[in-house]
Amino acid sequence: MRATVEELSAKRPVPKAGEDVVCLEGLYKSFGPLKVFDGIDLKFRYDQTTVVLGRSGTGKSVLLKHIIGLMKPDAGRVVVFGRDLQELDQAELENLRLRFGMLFQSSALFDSMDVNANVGFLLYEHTNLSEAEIRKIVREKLDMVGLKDVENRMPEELSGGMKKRVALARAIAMDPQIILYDEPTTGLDPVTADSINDLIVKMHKQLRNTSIVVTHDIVSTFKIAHRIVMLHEGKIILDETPEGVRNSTDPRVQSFIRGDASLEAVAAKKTGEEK
Amino acid sequence: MRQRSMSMIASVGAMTEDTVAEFGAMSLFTARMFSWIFRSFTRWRLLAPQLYEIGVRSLPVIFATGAFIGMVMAVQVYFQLADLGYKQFAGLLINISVVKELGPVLAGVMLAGRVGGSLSAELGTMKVTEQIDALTTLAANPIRYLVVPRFLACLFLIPFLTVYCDCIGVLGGYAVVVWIYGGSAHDYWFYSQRSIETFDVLAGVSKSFLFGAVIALVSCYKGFNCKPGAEGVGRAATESFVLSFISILIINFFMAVFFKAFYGAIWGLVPRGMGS
Repeated sequence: MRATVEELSAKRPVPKAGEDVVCLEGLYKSFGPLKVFDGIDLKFRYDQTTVVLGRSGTGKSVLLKHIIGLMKPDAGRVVVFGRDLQELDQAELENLRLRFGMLFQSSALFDSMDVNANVGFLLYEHTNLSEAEIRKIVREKLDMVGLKDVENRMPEELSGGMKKRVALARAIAMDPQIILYDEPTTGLDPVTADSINDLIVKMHKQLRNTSIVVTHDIVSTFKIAHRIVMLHEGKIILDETPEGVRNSTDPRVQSFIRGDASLEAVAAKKTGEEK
Repeated sequence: MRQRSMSMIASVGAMTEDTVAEFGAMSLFTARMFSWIFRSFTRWRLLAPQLYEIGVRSLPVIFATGAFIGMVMAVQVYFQLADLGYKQFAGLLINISVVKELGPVLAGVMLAGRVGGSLSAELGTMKVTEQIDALTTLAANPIRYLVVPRFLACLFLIPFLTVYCDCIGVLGGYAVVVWIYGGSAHDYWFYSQRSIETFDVLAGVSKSFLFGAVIALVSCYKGFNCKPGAEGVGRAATESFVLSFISILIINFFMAVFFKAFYGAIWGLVPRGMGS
């Protein structure tokens, strides 16, 4: 049954700024012998942009998939807006997902649909708005991400940067309270990547929501983050403000933000000696 | 030697475990799909493109399949029957083979390749490009949104395509027997009409419902469980065709046994070809 916009709004009470909206409690996850999360405890606050840093394969995208319920932990809890995802039935989980927006690394636009159908997907599926009303909202969202007159184009007619923008317009179609960004600047040239960073900052200013960004792009991180968390070997080794990260003396952190592999060798040696 | 035997036993055990797990996963997938059909059926907006893709766009290959089945049958049987002095029965032999077995099975196999391969590749690509995950995050259940309309389109249209294949096969046989070999048009239709019963046609069509269901389920399951990368998509399409093909042959055998028994039970007669 499709709902009116008012009915949907009633199901989405607005959290207070600084309130914990996503809590990961004692999260464990393994894929065969590979341990991805080794007891992670982490909270994400409302009206804050948190960047999760980490090298490739450390489980950053897996973390986002746990937050939106695409994956289940082996142990531990994922609590979103006070609800444990594992205790929700299918309908409750889908209602909860209406409060999310997610930008995928590959954009994940539906290639059988044009831009209008992609951006308006949630509105067509979950509201009783008319075609004209949906088209108007789609134009507004495309305008917010800096695109015009692309509604009737198919995804294959768009460049990489445009695809990311359309995917972002789709993610914000229903003014989500939590936006998840999975490697938003990967595969883009530096100028386009910077424009995506500007968009993330702009979206946060306009929507005042929780943004969780996973990336290994340091330039992007310092531009958009209010808080930076670093994942390393299944654990959170850093939870700081951008200033705190710059001043960190942990060689694993410095090695990552400077892109200097020799520092990591020092860190590995130090860890070995401590053991 | 003992170690080699143990390793062989372990391999067989692992293979059995994988097969049982795959069967269980496929059963669960099927159960989920049926639960969505009974809960919300589907929407015309989702079904219409699938009806076009699976039905309308399959017409040319089914035309070719039907026509060549009928023509090849005619080439094979006409002169053999003529040598025995039974060329008037050519139409009967061609048409009973086409309507009962060759039409449904070969149409099914052709559709397993065209429709099944395309479904697996499409869904597999959606899986590896995260489009299926994107659907889930947009609060749309992928089974309801993607699998149900494709299953219904296959279930309803593959029987129609089978009837179309039968008709073209019958006409293909006619073209060779009458126009090329100069056989009698009257004999072709007369003996066919006398020997082919409504039951034969219905038996062929009812098998095709099962073929349609199995093609849709296998292809969608393989697409949904596709491994990453281009190789994964290719493998999903191949596996889906092979599994659909084998399933069609197995279903065809059991349906043939069932229809023989059913025919005997209802009409109280020994089925044709089994009497003294």
